[in-house]
Amino acid sequence: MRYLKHTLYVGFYLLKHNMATTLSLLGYAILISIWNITTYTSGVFIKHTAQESLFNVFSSNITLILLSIVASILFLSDINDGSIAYIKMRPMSHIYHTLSKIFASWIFVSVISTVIFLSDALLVGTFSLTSYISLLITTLNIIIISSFIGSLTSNIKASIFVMIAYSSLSTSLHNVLLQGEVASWLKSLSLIAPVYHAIPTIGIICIPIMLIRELHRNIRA
Amino acid sequence: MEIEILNVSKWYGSKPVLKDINLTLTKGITGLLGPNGAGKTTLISIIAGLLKPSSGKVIIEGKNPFYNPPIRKEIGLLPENSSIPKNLTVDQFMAWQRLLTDTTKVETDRVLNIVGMEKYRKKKIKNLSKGMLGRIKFATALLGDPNILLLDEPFNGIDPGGRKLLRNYLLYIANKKTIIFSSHILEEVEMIANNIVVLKTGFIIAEGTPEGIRQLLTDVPYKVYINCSDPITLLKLLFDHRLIQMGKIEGEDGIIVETFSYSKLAHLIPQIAIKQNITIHRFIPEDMKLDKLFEYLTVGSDVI
Repeated sequence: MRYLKHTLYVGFYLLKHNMATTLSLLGYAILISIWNITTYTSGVFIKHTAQESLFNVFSSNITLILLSIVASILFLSDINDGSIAYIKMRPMSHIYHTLSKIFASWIFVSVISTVIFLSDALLVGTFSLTSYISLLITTLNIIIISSFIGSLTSNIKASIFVMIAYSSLSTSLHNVLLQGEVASWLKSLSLIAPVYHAIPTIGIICIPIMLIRELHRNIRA
Repeated sequence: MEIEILNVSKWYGSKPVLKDINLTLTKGITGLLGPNGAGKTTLISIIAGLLKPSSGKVIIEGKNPFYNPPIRKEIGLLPENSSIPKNLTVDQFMAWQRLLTDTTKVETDRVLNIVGMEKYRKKKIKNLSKGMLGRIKFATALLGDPNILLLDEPFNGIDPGGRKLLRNYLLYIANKKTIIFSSHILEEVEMIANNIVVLKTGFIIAEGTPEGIRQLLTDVPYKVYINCSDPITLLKLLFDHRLIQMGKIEGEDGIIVETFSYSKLAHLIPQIAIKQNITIHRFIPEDMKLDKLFEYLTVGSDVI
């Protein structure tokens, strides 16, 4: 119960502590949703399937990069201002706190993504649970990888730079791969950058490294 | 609880910050004294287990505090550089700390009462003054009644009344707890510490009783800047009470005074201000004596 309360509090803390970031992402989600609704009613994308819509909206570079940046900012907020000293000093496992931050960020980013997804898929009328679950796992992958990069760099600016480079590479490689015009070595390389793949291979590898890094984090309080 | 610091050194990259520190700290109040950059914060962070020493070790009750949540139950930390989430209210922040320390609301109420902040529970952290924030940090360190208190510049920004309140509380619990606090103001350390450790550029340059250190500095007056609502009247009153040896007006509402009795000045100034209806905005002691002390210690004797 104590740990559950802590997770809830971490979510509450992350959002309140990063009010500007939270509101910016909410504003972006609302804008995209309005854009979706208005374009659908005018019939521009009416022929798209839910899966195509998911690809159009969700895998677009801007949304992907924004979600990644927000995830990094949320993860780093208590590390950058030193308020993590108030957590690390306490008799609670720091591993648990790191996982709580990832979980809380995932819930927040998932809610935002769901709003965008529903505004797209529901209007097309082909909403599928499989697509939605795939979306949720993808957001989890994004959160883990962004937090991992945040954890390694320990700096928001450096983290944003790496995320933009990483996301761009990931998306470009993915597009090239889909078009089939790709050398075998590039196919192999693209496997290390599937930030928005539904199977979070890289995310699973990142978690233990990130936990070890956080456990050994030095804090000059 | 005993804290053993054995051959502790710390480098940030190639820059040495602490060099071969050896100390044994027991119950009572130990003051870490030193100018900015002396290594006080780094030493406190290492004792707290937040920072890993580059070499050497810290042992608290036979255990290393780094990666050690159970030993942290015994430590209350007031960090200097860490911020408290600004959009939370005092109550929300304390509720989270209560959760982390596994304590009750009664305990939160107790520590807020000690620091005189029970009236400000509903205030957001960002709306608190620097002094109030200092008190909240102090209360957080006391949460769970830990046996070791590590206080990094605990009186920074706190008004004279608040300083007195917190000093008295530390003196009250001194015989039951191991308290280590840092400051760059000699008089402040001298007022409550029974042991003083003087650090400079990462070295311990002196360790001893306040009396030992005081003997070095009898001929140097202490300088204090006071910002208040009526500087001329206050200056006159301080001269009348023979509390200062020199005084001058500084800016529109400030005075700079020199005294040989800082503790007496700090003690009496709130009483004078209340009696004469003068509002004291700032009371900032300057560390002139510390400079003198360092000058003496680096040129003069080796150990006090």
